[in-house]
Amino acid sequence: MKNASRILKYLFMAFFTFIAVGPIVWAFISSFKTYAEINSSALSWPSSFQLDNYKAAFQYAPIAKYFVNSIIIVGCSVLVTVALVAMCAYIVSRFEFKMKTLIILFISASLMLPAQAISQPLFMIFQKLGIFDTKLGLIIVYSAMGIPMSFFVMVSYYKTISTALEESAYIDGATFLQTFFRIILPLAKPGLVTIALLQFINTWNEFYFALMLTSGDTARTVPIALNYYMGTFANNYSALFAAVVMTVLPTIVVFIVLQRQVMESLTAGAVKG
Amino acid sequence: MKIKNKGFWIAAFTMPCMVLFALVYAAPIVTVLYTSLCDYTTFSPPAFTGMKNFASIFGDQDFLVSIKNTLIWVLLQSVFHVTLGLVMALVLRRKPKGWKIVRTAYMIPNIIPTAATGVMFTLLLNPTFGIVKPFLEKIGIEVSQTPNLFGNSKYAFWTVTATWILYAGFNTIIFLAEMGAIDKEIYEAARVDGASPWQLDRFITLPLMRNIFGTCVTLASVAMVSQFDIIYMTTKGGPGNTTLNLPIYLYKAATLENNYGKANAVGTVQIAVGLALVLLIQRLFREKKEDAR
Repeated sequence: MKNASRILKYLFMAFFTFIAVGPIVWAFISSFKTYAEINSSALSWPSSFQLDNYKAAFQYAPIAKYFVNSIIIVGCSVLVTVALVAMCAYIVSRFEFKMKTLIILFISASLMLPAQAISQPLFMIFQKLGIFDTKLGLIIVYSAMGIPMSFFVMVSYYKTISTALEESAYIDGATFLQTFFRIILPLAKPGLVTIALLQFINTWNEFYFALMLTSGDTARTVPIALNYYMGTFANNYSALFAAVVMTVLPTIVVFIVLQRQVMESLTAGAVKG
Repeated sequence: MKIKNKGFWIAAFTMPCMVLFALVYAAPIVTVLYTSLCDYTTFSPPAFTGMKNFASIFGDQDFLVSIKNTLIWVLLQSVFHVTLGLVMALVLRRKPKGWKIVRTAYMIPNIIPTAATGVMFTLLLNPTFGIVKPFLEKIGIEVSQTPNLFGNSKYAFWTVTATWILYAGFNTIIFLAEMGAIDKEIYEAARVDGASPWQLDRFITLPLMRNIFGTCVTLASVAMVSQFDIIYMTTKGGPGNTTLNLPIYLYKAATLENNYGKANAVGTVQIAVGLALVLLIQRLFREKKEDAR
């Protein structure tokens, strides 16, 4: 009885591990096969680990450029979100003021707003402002999108920091800005790291706005590159395998390296938001 | 606390956030609600027409299918992801050999770009070079033609569902975190009283998970109301209307038909559906909490 349940447990674990990584491993192995090999058998090994598919992927689409775009857009939006949320959440966690309830209400309402619902007006507004199909446009949307979840994570983090330090700083004659930058921010660092990671993962993977708000190569990001491949090289499957692997691998590597942090960030985002 | 110019700093620190919010959320939401009542296309500016757009979408079979599919997916996702996440967390909680590897591996489908998941499954299930043909041969089923799982209206809905329904890694880590926060002494006390591992889970762990159930179901629902990437990359809502949902229907109205009034009417419905679900879920789980007392 005990043995049977143990076997069952390991079968359960093995099955879900297999279906989780199986497709990725399969795509990875297939990305080294030639076009003929891919077509002849799905479950064979490549005859040699040649990199022609990767060369083709780089040749057919400016995937390197998409990577640079992604890094710029995601990097900037992480900085903007962290900066704005660090400020706004601090005020909300510490002070009582007239607009406070309203701010909280706005932000919590937008937590569950479906992205697609507001995409057409954004498209028009961005065209009018001249930031459609620019990196700036995506940076603005992504920064705003990151606010709701990060905001609630940060508010609850600030609440764990005792106010005693600030009070004594003010008694010693420190100004508001000095207190915020010298005392609060250093103490809030773990919280800021959490929201930065959360924002990084969400924006690096974002697809819908990148699709709606870009039309050329200047602002296209990595997930959109896949759409481009699907449309343009519908018959060149071998390059598509290489493209998928290149999109997925960086995220997996970052995740495995920063595992504990990433999981903490995601859980915090889900539970507090 | 006594602070110089307190009012000024409050305004200065909250303003940037609120300005960004007004631009990206507030202005578009107001526009969506208003223009859903207008004749409005790429070529003509908004002109008020009342409920015409709503009448037209609710008379459209494709739209009704979109709502139906969205709700089915919400229901399936809520039930399967929460159950699967919970079971996986209960298994991993006792730290069996290799539990860390399983936790990491199971999380991977949840952190890679969903668009990539879509492409991967289109390749994996491709009738000519995917795994369907060798799989059918192995288990000895003979078919004259390998089924196209995404392209055949008989299978498309369930194939699309299969690309996300089993991947509950995110819920697993939420449950694991919540279980980790339970006071160890409670277990100790129960064990001293002779409780079996199964009883520990049934009478201690599960009841304490109640709060987090609501969170997980909400997350699953919100995700499914705006599920777009995978469907777009695999079937684009087809064949026919079998895999349409609200986001795909909206996207088509806005980009293929260029009918912005219609798109925004769909957007209004999508917001309403999302809001209604969240309120319903909160209600359901709040009442449960009260029952428990």
